[in-house]
Amino acid sequence: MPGNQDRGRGHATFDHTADVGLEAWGATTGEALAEAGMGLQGIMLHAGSVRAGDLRTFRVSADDAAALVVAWLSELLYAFETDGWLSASFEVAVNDPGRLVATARGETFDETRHVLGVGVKAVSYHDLEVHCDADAVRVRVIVDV
Amino acid sequence: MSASRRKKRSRGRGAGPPASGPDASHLERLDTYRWQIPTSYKTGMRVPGVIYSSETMLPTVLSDKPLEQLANVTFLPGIVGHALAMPDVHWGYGFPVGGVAATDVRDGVISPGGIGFDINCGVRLIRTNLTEAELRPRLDETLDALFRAVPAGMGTKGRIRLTRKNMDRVLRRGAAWAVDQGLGWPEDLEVAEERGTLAGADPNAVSARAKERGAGQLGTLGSGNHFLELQAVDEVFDAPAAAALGIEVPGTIVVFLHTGSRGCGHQICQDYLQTFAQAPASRSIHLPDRQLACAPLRSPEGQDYLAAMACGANFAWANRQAITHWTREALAGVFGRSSRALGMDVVYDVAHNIAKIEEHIVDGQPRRVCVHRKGATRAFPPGHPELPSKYQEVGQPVFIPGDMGRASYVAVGTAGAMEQSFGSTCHGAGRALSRSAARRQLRGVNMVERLGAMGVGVRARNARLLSEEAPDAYKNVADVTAVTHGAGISRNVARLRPVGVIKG
Repeated sequence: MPGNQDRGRGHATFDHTADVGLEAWGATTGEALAEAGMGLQGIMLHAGSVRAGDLRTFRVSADDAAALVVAWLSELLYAFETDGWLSASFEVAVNDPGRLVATARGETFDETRHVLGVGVKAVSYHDLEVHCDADAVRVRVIVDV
Repeated sequence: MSASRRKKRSRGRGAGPPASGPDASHLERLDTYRWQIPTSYKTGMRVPGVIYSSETMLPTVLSDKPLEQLANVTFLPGIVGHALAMPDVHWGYGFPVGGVAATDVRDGVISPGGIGFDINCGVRLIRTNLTEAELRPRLDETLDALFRAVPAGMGTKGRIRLTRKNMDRVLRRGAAWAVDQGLGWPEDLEVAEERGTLAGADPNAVSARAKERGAGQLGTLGSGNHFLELQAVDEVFDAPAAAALGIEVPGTIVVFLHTGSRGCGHQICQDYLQTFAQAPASRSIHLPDRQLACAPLRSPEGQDYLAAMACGANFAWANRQAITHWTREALAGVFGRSSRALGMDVVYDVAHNIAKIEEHIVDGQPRRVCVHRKGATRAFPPGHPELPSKYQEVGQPVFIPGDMGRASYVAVGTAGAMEQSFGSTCHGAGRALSRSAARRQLRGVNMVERLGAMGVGVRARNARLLSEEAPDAYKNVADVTAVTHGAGISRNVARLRPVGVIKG
């Protein structure tokens, strides 16, 4: 199973015929979104560790919790495609269902150390799910590759 | 589309699509190659869905989810005739890949999901005078030259960095801009849909982000299923048509190019999905999938999207035009002859992710409709006014990439396509395996060696991607084109066999 999992938070990819499904979970929406961000990067970056160098802040807002997942991942895709930004870790704070502030530690893409995976074109709304239990938040999203 | 569906899955399970959607009992057989999903299948369907398939291919189609998606497409306001699934249909997001839907321009909608993120993803075919016998001894050298000339893969920067002003020119003028910059021949424009420039493009309708994402990517191939291939004409089925296209001699080498509008188009689609989600005129439309978000064609949002989509389409045509030029330069360098002497004429250039305003006969009456083609190719018949004079007699060339081991097809449009499918046919083989299933199945297989044993040379930026794109991951394109040919929505002209492949 591709992905990263510990007891309380993690992410994994799942099959979708022509695209890639991404699932992420955590104790809070912030944790689940941080995991989703790492999951997206895991699709784009096949190998090579990312150094926790520079600090970068992302502010993202959307109409609702589900649209926020798409907007957040689209923001990361944009940062990667225009600046080569890669994140080593995220802290994501979700203050109301449609807004987040994230701080990332990371660096810019270095082709001597990083091996790229599949190019992600966009993040879709198809079969998008945000599921909140008492003690866990789970998101599922399909990315177009 | 509810954001909190009840369906629960166990943590981290890599399950495939649920087996929902129509099964064989919901389908009505219309004839040898067509099945229908009646409007009674689901409340809210405005027209039936029609699937092109064969008895042998149908079970594969039914095992995936595309038919549920096809039924969902028929919810779009203003849809006319039928929603159509081509024989290469597979599960996409919102629309199925391999879907066609026409909406009335007066009271219908436009749905960016019916075009796709990769606006004007398409195929260009360039012929040459080279034979396979001439190419084989210099194949490695040729592939190296092409791999250097055409940036491929994710994160690669193009050879051109567009200024803001030039980006707007590309968005307005498409391939014509590239030719003006010396990236090609004026006659290249004669043999592209819309002459490589879709009218109505307005760069003001395109976000700064989309322009920024595209600025460094003009003339790049991208990754995923995009490719640049050298192929040999393997068998000719229709000699007069093949002669009109300049590919009548078996063994002739042609260049097959498949790419689209890169980050620019992807961002345009993403931006307008969000715009439509917030527009009041769109909010009142009930749809079963959020990715189908749409706006009335006559609304300001709908008009803005059309203007932005035309920009994305133009970026893609400029992209394929720039790659054409560098491909000519690379082959000229290797073979020590000019690209003119090598006979490197563009045969044609087709879009397979696009919406077009066209006139079609619906219920016996001519109607202006917006034809959404998502993973489907326009296939206009002989005599259609949109076609260049050289193809007036044979019909519009159609290119159907298969996979990198077996074959691709060249076909032409037909009157049957105008009667049945809004002038549309298939666009490829269609995936049979998901990306991860392909990787699992081919674990430990050296794809470069395996393709080499099949007589296909490969240069790829990313070896892992090769197994995801392996021949095993795709349906057999021969089965797909047997259906489109048999149903009469396009006519097979020739089969091509891959000789060399450049992948991202």
